[in-house]
Amino acid sequence: MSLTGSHHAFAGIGEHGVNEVVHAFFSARPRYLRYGTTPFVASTTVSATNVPTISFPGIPGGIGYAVDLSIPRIDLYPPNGPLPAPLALGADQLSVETEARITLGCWRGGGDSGGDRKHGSLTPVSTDLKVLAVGHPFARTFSPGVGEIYFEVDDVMVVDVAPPSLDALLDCLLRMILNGVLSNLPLPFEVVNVGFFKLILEEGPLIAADQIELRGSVV
Amino acid sequence: MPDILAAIDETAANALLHDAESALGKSGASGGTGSGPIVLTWSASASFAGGTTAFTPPKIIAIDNCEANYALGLDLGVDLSFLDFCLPSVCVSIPCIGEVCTPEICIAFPTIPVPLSFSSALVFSADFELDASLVGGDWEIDIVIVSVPTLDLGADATLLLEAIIAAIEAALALVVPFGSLLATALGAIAVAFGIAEVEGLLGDVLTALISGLRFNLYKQPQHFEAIPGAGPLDPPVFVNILNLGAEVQDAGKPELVVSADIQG
Repeated sequence: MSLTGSHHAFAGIGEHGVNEVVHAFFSARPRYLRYGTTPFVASTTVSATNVPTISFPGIPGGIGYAVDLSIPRIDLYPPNGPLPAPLALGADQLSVETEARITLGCWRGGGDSGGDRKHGSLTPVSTDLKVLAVGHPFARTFSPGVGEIYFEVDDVMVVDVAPPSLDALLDCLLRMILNGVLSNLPLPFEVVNVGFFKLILEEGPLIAADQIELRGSVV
Repeated sequence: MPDILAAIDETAANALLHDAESALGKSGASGGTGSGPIVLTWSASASFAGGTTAFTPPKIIAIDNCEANYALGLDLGVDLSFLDFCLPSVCVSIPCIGEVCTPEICIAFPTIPVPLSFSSALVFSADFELDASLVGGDWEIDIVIVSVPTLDLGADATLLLEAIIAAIEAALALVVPFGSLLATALGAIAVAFGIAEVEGLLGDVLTALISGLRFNLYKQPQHFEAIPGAGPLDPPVFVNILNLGAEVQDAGKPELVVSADIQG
């Protein structure tokens, strides 16, 4: 069967290629993997992103935290191996695997300090989590021939967490974090065809045979 | 499986071909030849437009009805030395004076320059072969003409010959004073430089312009900018194109397929 089918142009990027682009992206812009409040991340740089603390009454300066992720690994349908239930990878889906370290700034201050941070100590407390997710690609087009593929996760599983209510909480938290991270990761159409042509998208992105596929016509 | 597969059918290839023709601009060539009293040098340029593609696995892209618009500049030198003549010395005897002779008078005709411009368009069809290679840090895919096709030059040759004769006739009228001599000169030139010679000249010119004709369908740096930069916090993201190939495949529909492996 032809690659273009009933269309005039085809662009496809395989699983290895996707992971090479993902690796290149997060190597060039590691700030999308590392987030932290002051003092974990003093300011936003290429290496890390400074985020505000979580405000909470009675906690001076709010709750500080940091989130560090490893470079996500993408597996395109069909799966390379079984996923832990209830995750399952279907046609046109992908899975994402990463390790997340969540660090909490554990504040211990004297009650007689008047509510300022000069009298107390901040101790980082961390947990390392293995995160698996299943999601799908979608496309955004900006003008004829110019568009990008993005990934969005639908279901997340944080491995080996109990009780179930904490597991559900972490699953939700990591789903939000992963989608936040992935929303910054574009896969331009131009990458998917190494700049061979400008694609007017008519079909896709689809996932089949470990490949993301786009079809359409050329500008 | 390669990291990246990109394919286009013949319809899409037509669009890329026409872009490549525009990007090529004008190609040029020059040369010279001579026949009889005429010596000429020429310079020519051509641009290409139109045409439709047809794929033949594994490497051939045929282009049908490609239009070559060419301009030809000719510098003819017409050597009129064949008209040179001398009036011999004539002596007469005059009584009381004796023999009086006129001097021998020789007239030498120069080589006259005749500049001429000619332009026309020619439609041709030819097979091209895919050529993918790494050139100076850029991956390029070209299609290169396999051989110069048979060109129908008859109509253009007739027009060019008429233009040449008219230009020579105008130039001769300035230096050849006698009508009979002018006719002699034109006759000699016509014998030496007729339709066959003009067709030969046009054949040389167009062969030089079309031989080795190469259209570039693809050019990207090996160090490929995958995602443009967006300020100091978001530098550009590059991947390396480790290898790249191009071939024609036919799995129910002929396609030009480009494959590449990348490294982040």
